[in-house]
This record gives sequence, C-alpha cells and structure tokens, in this order.
Amino acid sequence: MNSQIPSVELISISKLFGSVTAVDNMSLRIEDGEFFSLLGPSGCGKTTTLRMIGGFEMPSMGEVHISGEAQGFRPAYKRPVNTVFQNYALFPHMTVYQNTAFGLEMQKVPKLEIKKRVFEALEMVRLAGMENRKPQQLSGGQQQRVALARALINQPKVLLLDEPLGALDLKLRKAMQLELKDLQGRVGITFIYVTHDQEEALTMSDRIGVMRRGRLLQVGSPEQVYETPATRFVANFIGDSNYLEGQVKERSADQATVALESGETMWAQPASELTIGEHVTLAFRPEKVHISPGDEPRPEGNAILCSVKDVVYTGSFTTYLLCTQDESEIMVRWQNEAGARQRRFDPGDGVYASWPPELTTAFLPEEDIPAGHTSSVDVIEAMEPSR
Amino acid sequence: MINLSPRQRRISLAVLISPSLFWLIVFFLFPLLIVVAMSFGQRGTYGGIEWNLTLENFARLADPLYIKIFWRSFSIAGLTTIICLLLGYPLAFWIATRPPNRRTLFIMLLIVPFWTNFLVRTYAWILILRDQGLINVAWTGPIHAAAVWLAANLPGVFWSSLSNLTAEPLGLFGTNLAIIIGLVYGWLPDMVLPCYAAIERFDFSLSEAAEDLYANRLRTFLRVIFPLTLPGILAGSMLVFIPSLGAYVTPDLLGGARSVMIGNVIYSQFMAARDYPFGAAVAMGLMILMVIGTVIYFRAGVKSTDTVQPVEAAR
Repeated sequence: MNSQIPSVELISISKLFGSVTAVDNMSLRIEDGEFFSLLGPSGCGKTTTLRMIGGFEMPSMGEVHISGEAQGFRPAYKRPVNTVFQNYALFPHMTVYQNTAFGLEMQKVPKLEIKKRVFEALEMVRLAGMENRKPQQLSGGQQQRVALARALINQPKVLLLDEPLGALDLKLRKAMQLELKDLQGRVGITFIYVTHDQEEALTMSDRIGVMRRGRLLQVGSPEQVYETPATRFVANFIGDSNYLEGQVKERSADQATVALESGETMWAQPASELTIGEHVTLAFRPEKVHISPGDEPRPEGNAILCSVKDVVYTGSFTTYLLCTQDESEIMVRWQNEAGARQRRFDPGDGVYASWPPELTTAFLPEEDIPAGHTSSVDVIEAMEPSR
Repeated sequence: MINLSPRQRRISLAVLISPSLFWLIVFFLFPLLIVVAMSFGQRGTYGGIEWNLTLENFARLADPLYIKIFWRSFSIAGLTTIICLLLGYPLAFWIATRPPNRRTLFIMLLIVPFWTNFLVRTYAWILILRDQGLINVAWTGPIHAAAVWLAANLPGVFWSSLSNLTAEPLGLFGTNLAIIIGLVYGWLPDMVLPCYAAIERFDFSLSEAAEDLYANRLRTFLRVIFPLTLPGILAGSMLVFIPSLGAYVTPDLLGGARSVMIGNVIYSQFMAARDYPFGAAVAMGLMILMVIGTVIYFRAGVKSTDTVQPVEAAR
C-alpha cells in the first residue's frame, strides 16, 4: 500500500494567524480511497487543516500534495478536490439542478453531458424529481444530499467534508453516517472528514487522526485509537476512561509495574518510554472492568477493593459508580446480557473491581503546552476575520 | 400576543394606523390632488388659475424644448446612478469585508459630511469647479507651468499640446458634467448604504463554495455574489435615480443656462412665470414617467431575485 502515491500528503504544514498557531508542523499521509477523519475539539486546527487542503487557506510553512502533486499557492478553483461545507453553502438563488450542475458548467462540460450527469448524481443521493426545487424548499437532510451531489458530480480525487452532519438532528445523523459510509464505498473517492464527534469518527472512518491545539496526537484505525490511546487526552476524548495515579516501580519490554498511592500494585502497557520512579496515570475503559463480591478471593490481574456508590440502569447496560478506599472513582459499564438473573450489586456493597493489565495504559502526565500557544477560543477568534 | 376578538383587532388596528393615515391624506394625497386638478386648469391673466378643464398644458409638454429637458434630466440622472454604482458598490464591498468594529467607523465617516447643510456643500463645489476655483487654479498654474517647461525641454507633440490646453481653464462650471459631479457627491451614500446592507448579509461561504466548484473570482462574482446582492443594487439605484431626476438645487447652482433640468422648469413655472397649471403639468409628467420607470425596473429586478432570501433555511 505504501508504494502507491498517497491521495493527500501533508508535509510539515503549519498555519499561523497573527501570533496564533492554528496548525503546528503537521505531517500526514492519506491513502487513495481511504475514509479518513480528523477528530478533535473545536479550535484544534482540524478545519484549518481541511481548508489548507482545499486551497481556502495557504500554509504558512510546509507543503500540501494531492495525488503526488505539490499544490503550492494554487487557489481552490484549480485543485482537484471538492468540499461539503458545514452549512452546505447551497446557492439560494439556484435550483437543485443548477446547484448540482454548477461545477461542471464552470469546467465548460457540454450541456447534454451536464444534464446526464446531474440526473445520475441526484439519483445517487436519492433526490431524483427534486431538480426544480430551491434549497430553502428542502429539509436539512435533503440539502445535505444536494451538497454531496454538487461535490461528487465533479468526480474529485478527494472529497473534503467539514462537519457535514452537524446541523442535523440525532436520528437523521445516524442514518446519514451509514449512508455516507456506503456512498464512499460505492464512489471509491478519498473522503477527509472533519468532526468533533468521536462516535461519528469511530463509526465511519478507516483511520482517525486525533488533533489537539494544532497538533496531531495519534493516527490509527478506530480500534487502535480506542483500545490503545497514545495520550491521556486521546483516551479522554474518545469514549470514557477511568484514571488512577501511581508511580513506576518496574519496567519490562512491554509492561510497567505501577504502585498506586494506596499501595496496590498494577500492571499496564506503557504509552511511551517510562523510567522507574516516574509519576504516571493509568487509564482503562469502563466496559473492561469486572465486578466480583468483596468477600470472594482477590481476582487475578489488576484488582482493587471498592465500595459501590451508585447504580444506574440504562436499558442495554448498567453503570456502576465505584469508590476506592482513597476516594478515587471507577466507572463500570456492564452489558445487561443475563437480564434479571444477573448478579446485582447495591450501593454500599464491598466489591472487587478487576480488569486485564493488557487493557490498561500508563501515560506520563500530559505535556505542558508551550508558551506562545493560546487557548482554542483565541484560535477561533483569530480565524474569524479571514472569512 | 393578547387574545383579541376580530372586532377588537379591527378597532385597535384602526387606532394604530389612523395618525399616519391622517398625515398622509392631509399632507400628501390632498396636495397631490390639488396638483392634478391644477394641471388641467389655465393660467389667469394676472397669474391666478382658471378652472376650465383643458389638456393644453400637457400638449405644451410635447414641445421639443421640454422633451429635450426631460431627456437631459433622464440622461443626467442615469449617468449619476451608474457612476454612483461604479463608485459605491466596490466601496460598500470593501467596508462590508472589514472586521465588524471597523465597519461602523467607515460607515460613520461616510455619513459625517452629510451633517452639513446640502446647500452649503453644493456651494462648496462652485468654489472647486469655477474658472478661478481650486481645480482650474492648479490646472492653469503649476500644471501649466510644468507642461510649458517640459514642452521646452522634451521632444514630442504631447507636451506642447498639453501646455496649450492648460493655458485655458477647463470650463467645468455650468456644464452637465458639473451637475453630475454634484449629484454623485450628494447621493453616493444613498447608493453605498443599501449595497453595504446587502453585501454584509451575504454569506461568504457561498463564494467559497463557488470557488471550490472551479469558478474563478470573476465568475464567482457574476454568478453568486452579484445576483445575491442585487436587491441592494436595485434599492440604491432607485434612491439615487429618483432624487437626481427631480434635482433642483444642484443644477441651479452648478449648471448653466444650457443645462436646465426638470426641477428648474417646475420651479420657474411656479415661482417666476407664475404659470401654476403648466408647472403642475410638468410635475405630473415627471411623476408619471418615474412611476412607469420604477415599475419596469422593479419587475425586471424582482424576476431575477424572486427567491433570494438569506440562507437561514440551510440551518
């Protein structure tokens, strides 16, 4: 796969807005036909990155390559990419047909061919028969599909999507997620998808790049970023996590022995190089934790004695909130497989919480943000006037 | 809203609109009817009005002299509108794309000069345009001197003809050009403000979308920005064209004997010739032409913008 020319390659790109660094020395390779998501909180630089690929912003440093071709300062209208904008940006004075045909018209495609391809594109997004409507006569989901057809009709090498589902309600959103994924498989175009919704990214992507403060923290498959997060931020941002503080006691090739403040010994996978004596945070997922009665023998692996603080039944699973002896909280999510026959615990019960060491990650304390970086709010404000 | 019976609602509506309705009837509709009636009257021997129904006044309008004045007025107003648009739209565009706090400042700067009396500001243009005015002092002074010196030291016909040209003042004052300059100056903000309002409302993600779909800057402007800001252009053009067409002060002060506009004809009929019926007929003729023109103009404009609305529906 690596011998192929990547669909998009970012070579140490940075973007500065005045003194604010929106994107900081980012390198990334996106393969042909991949569904790649850029995930991060608002102001992390994901939209700026997308806009640099699209040609709406030019990188302050570094290079954007599309299909192996350096883009330099090439403007948006000369790049072989198309964009689905956050608010769709459909032309309100044009019909669905005119909106969809716009790109081909600008490329001076013959009228007859335009007509054929517009009908095909609208068919593809299930909007046949809506040609003469104006955008404001369509529902949010339909407008979304017009935006998709308008972009895909040009058969771009890469489709850029900037939080395209953000304006839709939850149910429609879920349906559109699957539809988008399916569409991407059919057209075989590289999708670069910007979102702050971790669930959306996990559902649709082949790979996810998690960003924070202009930097790419981790790139990997949904399984990789979820199961083996590279930093505490990634663990926290994608899904829920439990955290325990401790100190490194021993270090082997792929395992670290960590002593908690309360004295228990835990084993974990180090996320980075650790040295003995260093302070670390252990993270593990709520659904990996098993609960057993406190009067039974201590389970194997990582285990800690707790008391049940709260039990919340939410249909398909039950959430237990446990409290360790030194007042740390552990959240446990248990699938309600056995129905009412399942062994239940009540608030006040003494229990063992146990989880496998191979599903525990040890992080160094989050690296400090270097001076010169500003809060995400400032980044957003700095980006505003450029619009 | 408070629940009202249909009857109560009718009463409250009547109470609310009656002051403005009263105002319009007494001070607008009634005088207008007087002018209409007057235009069918006849001038009395001593300047009064004889109310014998006649179309004589309207027949007089067909005189080539008046047709020429009407034509000149329309040309001057039309040119004024076009120049205002060419100057005002780019200015409005520039202001509307500044950071929000700056925009207010620039709009203020645009309006501030108009706090001074219109007559005074028009009078100031006399001082600029007349033969001994600012422009001609520079033209026949330093510019002439420089042209003479260059003609003496450099070869070519250009400098010698320039030195001949600059020997005489430009003769701006009293021309149609002087009137157009005065009108453009006077009505430019009326073009800028509606254009600004339309451009400021324009969602610039639409121009990015056009660019994304392979439209270069010119095409983005022609296909997306222009049609979506057309309502502002239409409104601004009307706000400039109508007062320019009926202008009186500007042609009176800056124009000469050969650049009389309809406003001056109406004034002179009422005030100098004391021919009220003919003055009323000229005013009526102007009004009828304006109404016809406005209807055609907005029909054409509405056709191309009938569904233009802010893109809120997309949210």
